[in-house]
Amino acid sequence: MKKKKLVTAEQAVSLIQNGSSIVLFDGYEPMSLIQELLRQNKRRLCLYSCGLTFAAALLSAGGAADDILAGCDSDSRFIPGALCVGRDILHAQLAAAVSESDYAAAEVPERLLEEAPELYRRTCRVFGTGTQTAAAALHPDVAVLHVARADFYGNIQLAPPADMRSADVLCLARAAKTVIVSAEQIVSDDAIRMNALRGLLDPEAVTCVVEAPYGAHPTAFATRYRADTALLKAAKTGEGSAAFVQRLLSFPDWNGYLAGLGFERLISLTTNRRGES
Amino acid sequence: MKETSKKLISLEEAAALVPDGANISFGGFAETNNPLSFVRQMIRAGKKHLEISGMGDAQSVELLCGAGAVDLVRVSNYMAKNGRCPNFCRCVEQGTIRTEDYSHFGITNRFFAAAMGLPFMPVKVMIGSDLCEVQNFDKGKKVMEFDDPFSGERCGIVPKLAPDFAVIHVARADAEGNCQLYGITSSIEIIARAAKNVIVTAEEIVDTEEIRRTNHFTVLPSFFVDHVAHCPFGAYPGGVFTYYDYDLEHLDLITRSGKSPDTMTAYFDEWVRGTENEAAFFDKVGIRHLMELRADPYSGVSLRNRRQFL
Repeated sequence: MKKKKLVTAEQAVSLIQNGSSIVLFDGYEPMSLIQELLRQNKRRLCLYSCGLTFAAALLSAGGAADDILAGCDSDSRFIPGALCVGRDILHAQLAAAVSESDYAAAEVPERLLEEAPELYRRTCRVFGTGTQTAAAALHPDVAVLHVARADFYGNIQLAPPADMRSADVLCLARAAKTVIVSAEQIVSDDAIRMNALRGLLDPEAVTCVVEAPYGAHPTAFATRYRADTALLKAAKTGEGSAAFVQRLLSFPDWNGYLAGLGFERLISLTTNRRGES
Repeated sequence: MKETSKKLISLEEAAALVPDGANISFGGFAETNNPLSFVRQMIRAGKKHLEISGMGDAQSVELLCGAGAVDLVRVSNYMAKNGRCPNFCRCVEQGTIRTEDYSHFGITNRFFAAAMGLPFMPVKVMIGSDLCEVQNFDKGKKVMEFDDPFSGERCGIVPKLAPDFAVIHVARADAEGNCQLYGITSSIEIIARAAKNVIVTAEEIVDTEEIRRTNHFTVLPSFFVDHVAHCPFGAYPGGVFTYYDYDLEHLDLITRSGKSPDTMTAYFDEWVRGTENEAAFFDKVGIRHLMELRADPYSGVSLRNRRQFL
């Protein structure tokens, strides 16, 4: 008999220990889980942020994160204290873990060889002569991501086909030992079968799922709703992020947070109520 | 038909178009696709003396009867999922509204005659029953028995019925008034074609290009539609197939409240007149509750409502 994996945000986040390493993905930010991480006062986290995630900025502002590797190609002022390693390099490090390799050969800038020698080194080429730069495989303890749909058994799907271009990146969640997924909607397994081509991860790879409507707010979620730019803009400073953390913590849970936003605001952001094309 | 740029209006503006005493028809059937945001807004605006002709539009009529907004109803089997419609029943029993009783198909054919531009439609329903024998305010203009001039078979004819206004709730519409609906559509196309003015409330407003891309779901083309208002959850506490399920708890609340005028007034004071607009109404219902009513993409109804949720 298949195991049902639907849990509450509180139950899901209780699986994350202080000091854990967590991988996050931009565009698929599980803000309900971030709220719960902050509420449970998790500490000493190490974050691998694929892109400049708002989630990493909040965990940093909330004092939950000690170390942050940001997979971004521009500066990382959005996430204070983050080490910007480049999107492709971070992806390669996670992909190396998925393929059970110790490292990935990557074009690592000189500054990273100096700033993080435990992760980036020059090494002899395995094939051919001379040296190359290598990036150590990253094995996050936990991946947390937000998707369009999940069923009770951990089958998870993205939104209609236009969104599937992100599937390759999100599959890097398999590098983590524990994968916690929040979904816009929990649907029947018939609904999952109906859209089988939108599948993302094997349910065996998913530890648990949480239902969180508007679960990426205030960031956008592809095909469902726009970013809440007024809130995001205000939160994109150190002070703004800290204020947003306090806002999240002022509500007992995600439903309270949504109620605080109000019906009109949520509807005004919505681009596709059903998530169907 | 109005210019496109003037079709998309607010719910408040749409409800204001309907004057007191209007002859109006509502779309929807049973607990599905009833334009209840529009109805609540009519109650907030204090509409009076309405003449309603409908096909299974019990949810709309029940609320309007409770608010004392109705003078006359052409009725076709008003039942709610959780029993009788107490407000409507009380109005009938106390004689505060006048009624003319039709079968679903009988009144649909009155709309159909108007939609086709015909003076009447032949029918095989109602004749031989009290629906034909008992005629009140439509006496002589309800249904008439006659012999088919071709076969000699006994049948009936019903005259056209063209409401001043039709109010239709749909799933998606564009700013031009092209409308889409999933699942059963009941007789909304016929009512809309019969009416002199058509007001559409829509769960979502989408681009015309999206309507063209999925044109197999279009039930009303723009030239039938005069006004469009964006009304998310606009059929609540009823449902819209593939969007959200009906809220049996709130429907029960309305039914319980309808048992006496005082409790019904208390319901309106708390939920309708006590909320400034539909956004405030849905804040009171609760975002969490609304999200729990969302439909499963496969079955089109809520997993929680159907006790399939953990």
